[in-house]
Amino acid sequence: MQLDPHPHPNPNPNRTSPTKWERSRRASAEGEGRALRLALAAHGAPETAAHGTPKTAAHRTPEGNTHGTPQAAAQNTPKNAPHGTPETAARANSNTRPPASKPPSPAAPRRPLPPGVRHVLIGLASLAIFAVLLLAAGKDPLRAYADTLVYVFGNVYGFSELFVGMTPLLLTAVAVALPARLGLINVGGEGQLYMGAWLATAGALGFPTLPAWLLLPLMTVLGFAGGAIWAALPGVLRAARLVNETISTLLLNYIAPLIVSFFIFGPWRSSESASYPESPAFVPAARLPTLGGTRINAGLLFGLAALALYSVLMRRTRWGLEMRAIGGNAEASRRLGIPVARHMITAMAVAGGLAGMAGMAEVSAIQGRLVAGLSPGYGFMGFLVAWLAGGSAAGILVMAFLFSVISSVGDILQITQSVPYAVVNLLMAVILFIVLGQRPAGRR
Amino acid sequence: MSMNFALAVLASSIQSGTSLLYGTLGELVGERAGIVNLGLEGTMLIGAAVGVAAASAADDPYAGVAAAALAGTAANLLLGYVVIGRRANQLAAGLTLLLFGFGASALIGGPFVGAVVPSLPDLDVPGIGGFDALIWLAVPAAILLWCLIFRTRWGLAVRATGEDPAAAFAAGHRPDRLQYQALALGGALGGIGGAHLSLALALSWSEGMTAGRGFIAIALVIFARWNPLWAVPSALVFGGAEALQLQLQATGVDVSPFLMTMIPYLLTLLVLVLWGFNRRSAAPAALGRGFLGVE
Repeated sequence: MQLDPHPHPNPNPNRTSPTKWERSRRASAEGEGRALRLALAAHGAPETAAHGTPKTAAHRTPEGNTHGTPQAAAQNTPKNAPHGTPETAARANSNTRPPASKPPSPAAPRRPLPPGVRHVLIGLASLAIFAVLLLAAGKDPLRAYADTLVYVFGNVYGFSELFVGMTPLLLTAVAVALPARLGLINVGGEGQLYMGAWLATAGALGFPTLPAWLLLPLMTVLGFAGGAIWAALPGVLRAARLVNETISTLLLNYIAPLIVSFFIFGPWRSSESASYPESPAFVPAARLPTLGGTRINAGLLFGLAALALYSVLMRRTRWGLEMRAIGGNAEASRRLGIPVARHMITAMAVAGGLAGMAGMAEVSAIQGRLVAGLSPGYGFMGFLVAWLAGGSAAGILVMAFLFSVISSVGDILQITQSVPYAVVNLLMAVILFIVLGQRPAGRR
Repeated sequence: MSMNFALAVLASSIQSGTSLLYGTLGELVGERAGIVNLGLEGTMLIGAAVGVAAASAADDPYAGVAAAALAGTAANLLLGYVVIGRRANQLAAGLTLLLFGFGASALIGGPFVGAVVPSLPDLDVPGIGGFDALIWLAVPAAILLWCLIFRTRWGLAVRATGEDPAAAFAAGHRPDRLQYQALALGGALGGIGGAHLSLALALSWSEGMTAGRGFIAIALVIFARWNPLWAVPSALVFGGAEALQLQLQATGVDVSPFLMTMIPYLLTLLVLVLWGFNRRSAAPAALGRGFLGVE
């Protein structure tokens, strides 16, 4: 595993030489392992079993045609199964999201419920647990849920706000799903969003005389660039096998808002608002157009376009195929001549750029100026959206909408019952814990 | 920049390094058992909030510390159930714990925003100075943990689990139980680290007050090469980065506080990069992988 970087927190068991015991175990697993892996390749490529990479994305091979693809080669490398067949098989199982397409699992204890029913049950159970936690804190959860329903579905504006909340989530979710195809974990959407907003603001404040048709594309490009630079740094460090991208993107999340704060408290501080630090308001030409009387803005188009591009790119292009091959087995891909390091850096940069565009849309369409506390955790929510969606484009669309609804529960709680907005993270965590706990024992 | 300044920085780095040290030790013991707890930040946040709430309720800071340790244990056991009992992915579960801790601590600490908290009193030792009880106990805790990991049968079993759970199982240990125990101990330490932050350093609760210290502590485990004794100087250095920044601001150096707040994060990244050049690794071999039982 040449490309596995720092051992933490994705350890590389191959670095330590295998014990005699392990070697014999591997050898015995080899025979049946190969046959099973080939069979599995038709359904879903296993992740590199040697990695502890999460199942952020459902790595699917191109339907049917696996022989001769990089993945098929990847399946045959003996290195791929350090712990014998059942583990490899089990991991592959969990990667194919729709239960219908799963090959028979060696250890499936009971029939899973149909997916639709299961999802509804997960949702209801999460709401119930969250309600109990709120009750314990002396709040009224039922009123909060009812208020949310009335607010969100009661009038057009409230409903439109769901699409406003969904906009950054689409972009930050793709920013997670794209690198996940290569087995990279981008948890830095938050920081990338801030850097995109920051550089886009530099454009808006630097060229206030440009017409909108020139200024807005410029700001979009700058927003993309800001996020791309912020994500390319962990990408380079990972590709050079220096620092694991999970920890570096997490750390960069804390630096980006400080850069924004430095500018809005310092060079960009608006003279008209002495008490609350923020940048001067953007000129009208620097504001993204919105729809009617709502706050739905052109950023939604960015998000949908990114989602469509992501879907097509992964399924239909050589680039996407090579990226998925890297996610399957980086070492085998490298030996096939795929420029692994270049793909890693590109994927991270593009992902960061998308998150940066979310930041640009946020300052340009919603805020109209650069402020501190720009994002209530869009980056992390995007991670959850992508993870729950299993990396599928349609799944991201649905999950982003649902998370927008959840996020409005947080808003309602804050407004009507003076519960901190951050409490809504609890609801998201409960959902995730239930989903994580769902996988029956024996599958991984 | 006199002797006084240096002494002030040293005392201040001990102050701010303590919560980092407890956090690092908490992460370390879990990783020795093969579990990466990416949600340490959440554990520490819960410890900080519960510490404030319990200390205020009992009007006793030590009750706050004890409650924080229990709450941290509970948080880590939740993670343990998901990753050990249900075999979920450790990184995803860790990030979920981070969110959980962020939300739960905001709910618990909500009523205490801006409230005055009973703080940990300084215990004076003649000739050295006055520090609170948690600071005095920090280095002994590290030594104790070292003894526990490297000099007891339990520690040997935990390390075996972290290197190869199947081998530990074959040797007659129960990897799942050992991992639960290690996570529980780590949660208590992480909770105490959070409590030190709110009850001794900040003397108040504010949302997200750990500000990434959990992630810095995860990185510190790497610098410490998974050794509790090395965690002491590493935590001191990183506490020092924070202390230097605070002291420089106090002496009125004309650099934006936002730029100086970046120092610990940048230092962490820098050292991670430098450490990345070292190809030999001390990481437990089975870190991050689940144990699926012996088929």
